[in-house]
Amino acid sequence: MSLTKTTVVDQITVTENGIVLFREVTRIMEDGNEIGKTYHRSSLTPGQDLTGQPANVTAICNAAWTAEVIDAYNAQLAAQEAALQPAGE
Amino acid sequence: MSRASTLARAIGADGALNVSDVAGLAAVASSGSASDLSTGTLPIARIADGDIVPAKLSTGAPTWDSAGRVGVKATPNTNWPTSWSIQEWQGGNTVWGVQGQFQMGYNNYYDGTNYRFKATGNRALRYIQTDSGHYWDTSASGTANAAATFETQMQLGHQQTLALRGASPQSGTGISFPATQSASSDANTLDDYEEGTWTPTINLLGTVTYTARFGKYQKIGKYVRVTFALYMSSTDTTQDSSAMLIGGLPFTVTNALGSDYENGSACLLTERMRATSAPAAANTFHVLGSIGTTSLVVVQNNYNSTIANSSYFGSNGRSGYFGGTMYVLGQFTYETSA
Repeated sequence: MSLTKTTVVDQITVTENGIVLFREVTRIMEDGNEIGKTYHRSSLTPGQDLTGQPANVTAICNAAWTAEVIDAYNAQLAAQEAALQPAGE
Repeated sequence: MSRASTLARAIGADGALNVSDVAGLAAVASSGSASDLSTGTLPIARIADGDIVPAKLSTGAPTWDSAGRVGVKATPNTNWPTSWSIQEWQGGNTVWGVQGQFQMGYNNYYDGTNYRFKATGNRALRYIQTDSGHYWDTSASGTANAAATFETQMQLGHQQTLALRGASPQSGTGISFPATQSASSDANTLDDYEEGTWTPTINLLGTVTYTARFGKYQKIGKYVRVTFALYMSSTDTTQDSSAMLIGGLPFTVTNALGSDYENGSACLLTERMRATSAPAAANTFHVLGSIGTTSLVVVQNNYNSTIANSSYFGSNGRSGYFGGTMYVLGQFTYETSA
């Protein structure tokens, strides 16, 4: 009987505003048969530091995050954050 | 006495076989032909070369071969396995089995290599029982005699979960959804379940140093519930934000800030936010909505964007609420897109 543990990215989604969501699945295998698995989900915003992210996720981010996408996302954030500021700020 | 009369006499009025005349019956049956079972006698069967051959009651009567295949309304298709099968050929309906497998099919036949459609325009279906459980398979509709490709719509094994299309059965009792959601727009359809972990972030407070952070989530259809804990050793005391963002959400939030948050697109069900310099009171919070679709805006309950100095999250000469060591624990529920 051999137990192995593997973690791979099994889903990557890019939203309309450039956010990249991905899921990592960790599988526990016994003699080649899956006996358990867990998920971990993450989301990355356009322009975010990609240090330490999985290579295939980084590749998707670099392809999706054009300068226009990053600018548009930052503009969206700025507009929404401005709405939070109290009057007189 | 004719052979037919012998046969008729051997079977009594009640339908029972008169064994006293077995020898005569055998003589008839072993060498007789279909013509012996003529009108006026009781046509049952004859024996030819060791096989029992049923007499044809009418067009469409069953026929079978020495391999155990029974054909209804047609001669059995010899491509089916030689264990046994019952084939209703006109509609492509079949029941058959081999050791370790039992199967029923609709609108398909087996040519020795592939399953093929019997009729054009209808789907092909099959139900299989094996040692590993029950399988309900279907195919898209196709053209007669074209190969049919089956897909398992549902699977159920011994002491295993009911696995829906695309899902793998698991040990235990329950329902397993596919790893990748097949979203439904129907209001009465539960189309997804998933649970896992996520890593929360704090934004709008400048540079944050985390001591520890972790989160869990459950997704039931569009409903997402997240729990989280963030422990920070420091925040940027030069920042003075009017709100705090909890980001890194595992799924997007449908309701953007200001769109519908008053209706509870997201809410902080429980919370415990503390800082070394926290004010004594007013440490309850609520969620305004989403910024950037994967962050939720958390504000203090008396937050009012129209009143100056209502900022409670900054530490630059204001309340200093999030300065220094602090932790944030809580849980959100929100709606995602699918």
